[in-house]
Formats: sequence, C-alpha cells, structure tokens
Amino acid sequence: MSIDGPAPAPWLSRYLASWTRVPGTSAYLLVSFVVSMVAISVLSSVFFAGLGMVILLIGLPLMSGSLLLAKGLGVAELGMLGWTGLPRIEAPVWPRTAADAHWTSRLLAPLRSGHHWSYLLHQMLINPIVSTVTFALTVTWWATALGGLTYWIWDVFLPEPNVDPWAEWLRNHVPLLGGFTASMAETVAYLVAGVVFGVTLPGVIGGLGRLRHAIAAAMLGRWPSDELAARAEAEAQARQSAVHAEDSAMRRLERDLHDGPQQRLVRLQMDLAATERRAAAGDTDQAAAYAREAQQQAKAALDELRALSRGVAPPLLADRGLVAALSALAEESPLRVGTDLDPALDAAVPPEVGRAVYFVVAELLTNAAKHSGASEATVSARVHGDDPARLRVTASDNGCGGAQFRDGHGLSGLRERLNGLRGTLAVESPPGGPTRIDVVVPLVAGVQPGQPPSLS
Amino acid sequence: MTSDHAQPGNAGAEAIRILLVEDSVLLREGLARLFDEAGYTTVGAFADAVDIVERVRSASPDVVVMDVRLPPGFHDEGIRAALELRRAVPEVAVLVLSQYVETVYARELLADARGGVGYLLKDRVTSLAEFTDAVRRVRAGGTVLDPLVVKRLMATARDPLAGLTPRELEVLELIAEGHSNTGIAERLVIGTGAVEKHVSAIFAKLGLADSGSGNRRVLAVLAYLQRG
Repeated sequence: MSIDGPAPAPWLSRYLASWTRVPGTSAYLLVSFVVSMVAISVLSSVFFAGLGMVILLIGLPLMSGSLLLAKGLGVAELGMLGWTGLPRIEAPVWPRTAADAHWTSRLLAPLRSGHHWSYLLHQMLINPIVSTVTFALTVTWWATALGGLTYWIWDVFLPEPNVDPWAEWLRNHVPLLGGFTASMAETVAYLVAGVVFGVTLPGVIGGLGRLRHAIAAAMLGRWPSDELAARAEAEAQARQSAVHAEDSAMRRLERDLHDGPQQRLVRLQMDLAATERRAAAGDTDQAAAYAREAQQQAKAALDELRALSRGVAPPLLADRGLVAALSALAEESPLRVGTDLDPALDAAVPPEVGRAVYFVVAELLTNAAKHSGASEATVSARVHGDDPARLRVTASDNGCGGAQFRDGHGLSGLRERLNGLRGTLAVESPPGGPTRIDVVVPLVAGVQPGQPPSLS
Repeated sequence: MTSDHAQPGNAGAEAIRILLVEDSVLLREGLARLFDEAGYTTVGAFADAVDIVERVRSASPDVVVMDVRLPPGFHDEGIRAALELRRAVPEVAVLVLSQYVETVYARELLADARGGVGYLLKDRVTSLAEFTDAVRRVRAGGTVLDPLVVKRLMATARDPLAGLTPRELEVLELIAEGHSNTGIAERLVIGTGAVEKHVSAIFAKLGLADSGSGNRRVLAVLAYLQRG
C-alpha cells in the first residue's frame, strides 16, 4: 500500500486500514447466517418438543438439552465473531453444580440458569432474524460492488442486449449522458453504483459486524452480576491465601520457637538448678562452671529469638519504615545493589504490605547472593497514584537465573502472602538468567469485607 | 577469654556517674544492680528519653546508657536522643544498648566522628568485665561497636578485604570494635609488636593513613568499610 512520496492523509490511511477487516467480517456474516439457520431449526424442534411434553416430565430433560445446545452454538458464535477482529467477548461465568449433586439436579441445572435462557433466546429468535438481515445486506453490497464495477466486461456477453426503460429515462434526463446510447448510459450507471457500493463496503460490512457484536456482547457475554461474582471469588481467594499464608507462618514460628529458644530455656533452668545445688553444697568451682554454661544457653536463646523476630518483623522496618529498611537491605547485601526508592513509600504503604515487600526483596537478594552468582542487583519501588493506587516493586540481578517456586518455601510463601494482600508476584528467571521479580500490590485503605476493591 | 572475676570497678579510684534510660522495669533493675556491682553511681534512671538534654544537664553523668526502643512510639527514640545528646552535651559519653543492632544506627552514631559513643547488644551486659571495659572506653572518648555490627560490615565489604590474611582480618575486626593495640594483643594472645605489624600491614593494604589514636583508627576503618 505504501507509495513513495508524502504519507497519505490520516483519513485515507484509516479508510485503507478498514479494508483489512472486510474479509474476516464478511466471512463471519455469511457463515454465521448458515449456522443460525441450522441452529433455529434444530433448537426449535428440540425445545418445542420438550415444551409439549413437559407434562410427561420427559420434556424437561429435552428442554434442558436444547439449552445446552444453545450454549454450544452461542459459544461457536462467539468464536466466529473472533474473525471480525473486534474485541473478544468473554463467555459468562457458567453456573457450577456441586460434584456431589443428585443427577436430576445436574440434568436440569440449565433450566435454572439465566445465561442458558439468554443463549437460547439469542440463538432461536434474535440471531436468526438479525443474521438474515445482515446476510442479505452483505450479499447485496458485495454483489452490487463486484457486479457494477465489472458490468462493462460481461455486458456484451448477455444473450440479447436488453436495455431497461430506466436507462432510456436516464439518458434523456441527465445532461452529462446526452450523447450516449441507452446501453452506454446503463453501463455508466452500473459503474457508478459499483463505485459507490465498493467505496462504502468496508463501512457497511464493519457496521453490520459491530451490530452483531453488540447484540452478542449483551446476550452471550458477561453480565454485571458475573463481574460481581468474579470479584467475590477473587476476594474469597485472597482471603483464603491470606489465611493459608498466616497459618503456615504461625506453624513455622511455633516450630522454630519450640526447637530453638524453648529448648534452650529448659536447659537453662536445669543448669541454674544444678548451679544452686552445687553452690549449696559448697562446690563453688562446679557452681561457676554450671553458671557459665547457663549463660551460654541464655545467650544462644537470645540470638535465636533475635533471628526469629527479625524474620517476623525486621526492626529497622518497624522503626524507620520501608525506604530505610530496603536501603539497609541493599547496603548489607554482598552484591552491589542499586536502589530507586520512591520517598512517598513510607506514607503510602501500610505495614503489612511493607513487610511482604521487604521479605520479597530480601529473598531475592539472598538468593542472588547465594545461588545465582550475581554480582549486581537493582531494586526499585514506586507508588503509582492512579486509581486505585498501586505499589510496584521490581528487583533484578545479573545472575544465572533458576529461581523457583517450591511449596512452602521462600518465594512460594511470599507469593501467597502477596495474594492475600490482593497483590501479584511474577518471577522471571530463565536458566542462564537474569532473574527479574515484579510485585504489584494495590494500596487500598481499609477494605471492608462487603466492599471489594475494583478489579484491574 | 573474658574473666568475670576482674576487679569490679576499683570503686575507690573514681565513681563513674551513670544515667540510665530504659523502659523495661525488669532490665532497669538488672542494670542498676550491675552498675552497683561495678562500683558506678546511678544518678538517674528514666523510662523514656523525654527532655533528655535537660535531665542530663541537671544530673551531669559521665556516661548515659540508653535503650533504643522507648515510649511513646517504640521506634528509634533512643538513637535520636543519643544524637541529640552528642550535639548538645558532647562531653557526656553515650552507650546505646539494644536488643538488636542495625548498621544504619551505628553509622548515624559514628557520623560526627567525635568518639565517646558506643553501640552494643544488651547481651554483652551479662559479662561484667566486657561491660565495664566498654564504659571505660567510651568515657575516655573512644568508640565501641558491637562485634555483630562489625561482622555485618565486614560481610558486606567485598573485594577490598580479599588481600588480607585471616589473622589480619581478625585484627581488623577488633580494631573496628574499638580495641587498642594492647587490647587486641591480649585478646589474640600475641605480643603488641606483632599486633603493630599486623595493623600497619592492614592500613597499608587498605590504603588508609594510620592516625595514632584508637578512635581515629576505628573511624578510618569504618569509613573504609562503609564506602561503596
């Protein structure tokens, strides 16, 4: 399409671009008409047979079957709509029956589903009518455009040149055609019609496609109630993740406390009791030796507790906020870590999000230093103020990659934790590296259970 | 290596005056008992760092022993109070005691490069000798850093330390903690001459000028470790 010289005007390039969708849309308009004719005949025979036999009960499964059939045909229609290049229409959330439901209730489930009925209405009534009209217009436009533009070629092969009276009238009344014969006037008229229909073809075909698309979106697509259901589901999943993450964190903490400090303190108590016995017996040397041992136990217990509380809530994060804590992480890493931290973080990020983000970055840096052989890493954290506000943290290293999600381990637990905060954690770590971690967490203040955050 | 039977305090020589800021009653009592044992005079014990400068001015202690997390916010009030004290009453030494140590705080405390400041884990207090040693050193204008902070700084300093021998690394750690050559010699059970040799080798390898006083040495080492 590109010709040397100045670029075509914007309207022209838009018009030319609109031609690219013509083949797909035309194919859809033609094929879907045939399908819809098959659909109406099959569906109405099954459906009305079922309706007629409702009294005999056998009618109910028949009607249910027709609804299922309508669903299949509707989904096929959505698939064919893809040829038009218009935005994909999401199929609705189909109602699910519990796996342990009685077979009759599963058989008849479609009868209770609004989406199934909407599909049936679309396939049995609306679509046959609309697709007939759009089919007729499509054929008319193509035929006139092709026929009109080529009339002058095949006109001469027509058995007997047959000049319609309207051509005669045209010749007499249109001044420009004054010197023409009636047959020439006819040829010119067809050519003009061919040009007009040809030029308007993309607009008309596109318009018809959009009409069908709009109807399908309303009847076969998602409803606002589906969006609500999806949100509720996402919310439930987030809560589930949060509960699960917290539960496993608690269990790990309990185990660590039990295996570490608790044992130490028991031992300490034993040592102190022994010290007392020795001291009472006047054996000061042995008493001092026991006391020294007791001190060692206490010191070890303190070390373990410090490590544990650092793992639960890093002190610097609690004292100074996320910017200071992330800077310290970067500084204390054996890698050269470049940071780009938004000063707005501290005010904008709630503590639970801050903790999760802190541990994600800590995990990446630890992993990078220990396993990946990286020499450098970067950490950036920004608050995006658009609605809803989001925190985005990216961290990357120049190591050999291979960071993985293993169950109950590092990254996987952190992902769960972030999911609980409605955030996402994406890890890109191909063998050979580099590793990139991308965290996005919505910053929604005080979300109430009945008031889900907007999905985006 | 440490002996807790060291002569507690030499009470006669001079009674060091201590002002204590610690919010936990349990630890306040424990520390007061320890000061007593060391022969120090506790001139004040407070649960928070409010109006710390006035309190210090009126009690005129030699050393302020300060907790980090204090009311009302339980964040880093102790560090802020310590910095305020360094500015307002530089002649009073400050020894910060905490349940955890952060290199960030260590750097802030050392930033004015004037010495007379220490930063230790509370655990160190269990050893009377270690504690009195730390108090003596900060009071003399030295710098005392917890071995844990030093370890972390050493761990993050990359390639520059590669050229040091293990023995030199050991000596470097002790310098960073604030020990004098004699102190280092005692700890490593070697002669002072050997320590001096190690020290000049370290300074030469790191390209630092060895300025005689203990405090300047510590700051030079820390400045070196913290860069990059």
